[in-house]
Amino acid sequence: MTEPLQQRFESIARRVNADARLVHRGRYLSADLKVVVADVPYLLRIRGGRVESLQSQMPLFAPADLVIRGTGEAWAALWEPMPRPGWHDLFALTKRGAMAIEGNSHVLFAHLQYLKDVLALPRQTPAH
Amino acid sequence: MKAPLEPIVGRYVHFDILGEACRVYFEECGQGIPLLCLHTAGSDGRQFRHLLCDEDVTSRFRMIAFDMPWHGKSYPPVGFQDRDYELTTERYMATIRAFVAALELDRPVVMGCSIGGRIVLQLAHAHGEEFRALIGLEGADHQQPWYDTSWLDRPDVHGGEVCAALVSGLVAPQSPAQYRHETLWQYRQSGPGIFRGDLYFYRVDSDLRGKLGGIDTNTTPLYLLTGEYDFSCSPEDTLRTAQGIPGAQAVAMKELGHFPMSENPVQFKKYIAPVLDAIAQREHAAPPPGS
Repeated sequence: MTEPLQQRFESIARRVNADARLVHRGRYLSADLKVVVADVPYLLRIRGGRVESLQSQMPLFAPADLVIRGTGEAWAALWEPMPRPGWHDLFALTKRGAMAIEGNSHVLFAHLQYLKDVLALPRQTPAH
Repeated sequence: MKAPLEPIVGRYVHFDILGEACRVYFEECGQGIPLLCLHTAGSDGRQFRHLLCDEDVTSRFRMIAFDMPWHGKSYPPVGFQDRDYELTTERYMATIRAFVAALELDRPVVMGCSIGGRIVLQLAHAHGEEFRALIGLEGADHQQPWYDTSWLDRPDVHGGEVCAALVSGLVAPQSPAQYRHETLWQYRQSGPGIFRGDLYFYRVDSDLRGKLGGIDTNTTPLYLLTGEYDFSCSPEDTLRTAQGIPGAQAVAMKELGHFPMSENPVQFKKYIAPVLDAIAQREHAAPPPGS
């Protein structure tokens, strides 16, 4: 179950950089995000709205502007083609305790829709 | 004229709220039972545009939606620049009752959403006899606060963008893109600090748990409808509230979120039509007391 989830998450880099409108909307965001998909931590580096790199070999204690941590169940539910009530949004998942978002809240709220849309991209179609 | 012309008419009315002169914009359409629509926090009366253009509704109801002061096309009162906007229960109740008096509405039905869904509970409790029926959309006696609202109003975060982004998760994924983005557009247009100011009522000043005794649903039927994708006011919140009010009727609406009337009008009509039918039939069967 974990491997397909990882593949789906890793598709985010390609999807973001192929979406000129999304990149434009994120043009003022440059940040390092630690995203934990089930038990796998990723370092997602965004520069000017583009994904500069996405690596799963994240060094211990590497600094990050935001840490977004979700259970495997949470990410799988978020990325269903038509997600269920209460599992359909980052904040819905956070409210139910299936996801946690920590770090520099200013980064989150200043770029909230962009970040929500980036992290929901695997919902669209199968990754490969 | 060949271009499509909607039947909605918009006007301004002047009246006082808590001693302050206000110029309030409202739109209306239809004839019959007056039905007053209350918009959500940080938005305006445009949310009800679909119902105001629905002949099934306007053939029996005089539909009216006003923009509260500080919202939509209603300016804030003179001197607003010297204080932060903060909606209290007292101000909200006074605004609604002053509008009803200004338009000389005879025992209107009131349908409110979100903060409007909360205030109809207080209307039912404190002034139920003034209304023919009350409809709360996405309403409950209390919801647990789930985020720090200070992010909605600070100079280093774009207020319109953050308000829209925050509520975007409250729209059901099934809702058509056109109406999803219309709904969010109103949040992007909201004045600085207004959404947060409305939420003062929601978060701080209107915990109605244990305070809703004495509601007479025989005199004033109370309907509570909540979308299943609303995680701010969840169906569980609404059902819990209804259980404490004898005679209150509660429905969880499928494939709808926090903005049923604006995010998916076709889906919403499946749920609101039977409620409006019941209100109209009741009116036909037994004229209200004192008429």
